[in-house]
Amino acid sequence: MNTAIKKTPALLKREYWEHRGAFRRTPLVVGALFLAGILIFWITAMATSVHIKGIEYTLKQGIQKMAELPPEILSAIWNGVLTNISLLFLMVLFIVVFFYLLGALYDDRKDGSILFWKSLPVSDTHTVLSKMLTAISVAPAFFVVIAAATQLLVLMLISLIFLLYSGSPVASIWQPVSLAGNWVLLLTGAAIQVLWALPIYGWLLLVSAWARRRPFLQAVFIPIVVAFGWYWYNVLTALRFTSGEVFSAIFTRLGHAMLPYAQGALSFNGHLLSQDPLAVAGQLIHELANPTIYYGLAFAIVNTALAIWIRRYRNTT
Amino acid sequence: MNTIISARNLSKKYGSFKALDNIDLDIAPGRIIGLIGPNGAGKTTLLKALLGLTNYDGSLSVLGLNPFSERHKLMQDISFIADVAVLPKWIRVDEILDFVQSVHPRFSRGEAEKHIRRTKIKLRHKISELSKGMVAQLHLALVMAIDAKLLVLDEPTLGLDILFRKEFYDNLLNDYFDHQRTILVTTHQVEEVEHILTDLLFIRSGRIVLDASMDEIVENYFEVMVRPDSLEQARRLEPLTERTLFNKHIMLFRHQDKAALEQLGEIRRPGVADLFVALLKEEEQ
Repeated sequence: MNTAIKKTPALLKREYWEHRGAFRRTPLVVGALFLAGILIFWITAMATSVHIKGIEYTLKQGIQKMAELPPEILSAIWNGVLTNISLLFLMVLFIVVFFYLLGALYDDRKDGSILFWKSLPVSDTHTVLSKMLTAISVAPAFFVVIAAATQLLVLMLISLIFLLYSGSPVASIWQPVSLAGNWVLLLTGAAIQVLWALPIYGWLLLVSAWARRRPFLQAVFIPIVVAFGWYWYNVLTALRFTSGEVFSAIFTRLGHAMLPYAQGALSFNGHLLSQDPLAVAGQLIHELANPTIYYGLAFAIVNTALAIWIRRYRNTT
Repeated sequence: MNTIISARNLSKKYGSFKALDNIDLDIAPGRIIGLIGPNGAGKTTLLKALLGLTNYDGSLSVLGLNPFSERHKLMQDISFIADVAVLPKWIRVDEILDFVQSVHPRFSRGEAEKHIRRTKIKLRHKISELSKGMVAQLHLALVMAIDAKLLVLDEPTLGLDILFRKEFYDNLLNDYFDHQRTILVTTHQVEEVEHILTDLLFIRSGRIVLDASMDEIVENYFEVMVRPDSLEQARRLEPLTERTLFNKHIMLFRHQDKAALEQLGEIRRPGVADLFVALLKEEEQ
């Protein structure tokens, strides 16, 4: 067991080497797009005008007026910007991990390199667990760090633009915004996302281990067929037309896994978006009391165990 | 331990097809064994069973371990090359060295780099940038840097040109084989390996047809270039096969008095391929 633990960093590094593009380049591109988006917004705003409460201002007037807005509105605006940035990163993270796991135990069977990996003293259990660990730690780590940096850079870039128009970035941006609070929310969100997504991740690993071809279609269509099957079984045997349990189980998890704090970020507080990222993070922590999460974890464990078992037999596609 | 591989009633079925049919086998350390058989004879299945890549019926012990349930332990003492194309395409040479070094206690990185320096491979190369021959060189360099007790080669030179193939086996023999290690090799290019083999294992339809050392074969099988005037006399000794090459009759005999055969013509050691064909034909009759 001890030697197995010593080998773990090497196994995680291998996953990183293979998926550098997905784990590192993807979030960098997302971050760059945000910064580019702000520049584009700036350029278009220079040419047109800004509306605040129905009154038309030039960009310069708008930026200067902004300091006069009530602090709770300013904090809602900037926290909203940051929260939505992190939310988008976590959504892309889920998609990246989705495809990473689908290929994790399939690609090396397809190209035959599995025989090289199996010629080394690493157990199948250890290999499969290292892939799951990559999905829930290595990939999120890259996304979280780059998302946090993007939030900082976005604020800095906007501050620069404010300075160009004689605005006051400290009063209009840095005092009302809670960057640290948003970082806490980002980290909490990434952790809760993993908990919600684990049954999906386990399922993807299982399909990846067993599919002889087209793992994506199998991963997507089998759950849909099962959900329809359940519905029609109930219709035909009990004349019950409301049995969408399987669908709702799937969509609950998908929703939470893709947008872990969409409800928190978008819930209206009077007419404002939630101002306080720590409050949103607090709501997320409350989700831990939801037993659904733990049924999902049990499902994830069973699926991962099956994936390990299949991995011992399948060396080809 | 005087056997490195020991199998009793080893069988493997795929549906109703018996890929391995009650094989009994003992392999001693320090040998170079050629596993020879036609396509579909069960060679790859046998190797897979030995390497822990498939389950099986019967009992099988490799280096004292059950290969299927203890594969990861077994792989500390076994290396194998299954096919030239199996190194992952996305990895860089220095990364694969890092990885093997981290997971394999018997891997010597210095040794591997020494072998690599003799080739055109650069450490920053990705596997996908290497030619087929270079991938095989790299794989051999990795394998030769592992201090293993058993090396299994399944068609290691498939698809390589003749220069690479020759170099591959020369390196293996000169730099790796030390008479303690055991090498088990399968290939269709028997002529290229037969001079390095110490033992032959013929397999057909999941059964072992011949399990003999080269010394035993030299003592028991003779190929005679029969002189034209001795043809009738030679045929009466019931050769396993007879073929004609440039008007010369070449016959393969088993268990014959060597002195008597020398009367018929020039005696040679039979080629492995010819011997294999002869034994298969005999079995069919």
